[in-house]
Amino acid sequence: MRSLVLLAAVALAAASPAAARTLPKVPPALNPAKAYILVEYRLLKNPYGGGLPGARKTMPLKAGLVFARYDPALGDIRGMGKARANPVAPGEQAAEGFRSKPLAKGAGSRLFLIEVDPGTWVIQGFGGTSFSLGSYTFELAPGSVTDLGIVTAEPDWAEGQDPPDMGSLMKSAFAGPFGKSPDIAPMRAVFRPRAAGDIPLPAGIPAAKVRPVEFVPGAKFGNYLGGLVNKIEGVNAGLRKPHWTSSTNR
Amino acid sequence: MLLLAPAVAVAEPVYFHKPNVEREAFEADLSECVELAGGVDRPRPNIPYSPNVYAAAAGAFLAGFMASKEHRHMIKNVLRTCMTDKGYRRVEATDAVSDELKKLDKAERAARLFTLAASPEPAGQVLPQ
Repeated sequence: MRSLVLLAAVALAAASPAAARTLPKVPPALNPAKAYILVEYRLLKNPYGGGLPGARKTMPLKAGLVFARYDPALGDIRGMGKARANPVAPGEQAAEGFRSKPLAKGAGSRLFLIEVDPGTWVIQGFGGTSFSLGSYTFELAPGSVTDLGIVTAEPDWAEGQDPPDMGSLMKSAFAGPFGKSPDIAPMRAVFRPRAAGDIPLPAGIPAAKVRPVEFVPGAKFGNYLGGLVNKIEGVNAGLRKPHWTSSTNR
Repeated sequence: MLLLAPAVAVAEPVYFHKPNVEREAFEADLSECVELAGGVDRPRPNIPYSPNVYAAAAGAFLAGFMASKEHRHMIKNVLRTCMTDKGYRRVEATDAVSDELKKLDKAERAARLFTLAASPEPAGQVLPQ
């Protein structure tokens, strides 16, 4: 009986789609059948530190970009909503969430290398926020490394809302479940190309195989992450340009 | 938002306003935003363990209450962000408008909401965007 269960588990594992991999180190050789995403996250300042001795300067990276396969013709994530008729082939991956396995660490930044299937991908969201109102698609060619550059993500506060601080958190804790709900904000993300001062391209990644990303804006899709929604650049940030980067650690 | 989207009802008498918006555009915008709001998952209540059955019941009640409140809060946020993206402003309906809308059936209410949304001037206090 035990061996039957074991066999069933092995068969199930073999039949499940190939998992994407966030690589903790550069592979000895790039897989020509796979594509690679290189992206560097800027860490956000710790808003609760308040200059207290011993308080950390930046927030740990607990969430990140979510990527999904996209059908530009049908205008949705493959296998979902309007693109339900075009799911990814069995054995291919439909999406790739964030895994905290940085390839390299810098002061205030983390570099990631992700191995995925080639094709058209979209930045589906950041953490629980879905960029359903407008995001970027990009092409991943087999055997190549696509450099998304540097991403800075932060809450996209609406007009009249304020980020929580230590005082408001304490107030909320004392008020308990019957107090006013604290404001919530969807995330937004901004990309810029890699420049001097950023984490350099790790040794072992052939420079000839690295190409900068070509984002195509305007991709829309359903809310499949189950959380808040936004436009990737931020609906609210767009209303109060500029100065959105005030809380980032630059 | 209660007035606009009964399926994702929340308790505030708030509606969206965009002067002179066409009815088809309004319906398409609202339908898209309500669909996105429908994608919000209900947060799982975090129920603290207690060997005391009364404490456990009270904990479960409060946890469920909090989860439900958070769910409504998230739906409201999705509708606000989405409609703001489409150029609408939130308006707090006056008591008279709220009372009037409560008396209407679904079709009449939808028609009245459209006239409110498309009117040149908002009927109530314009809320932060």
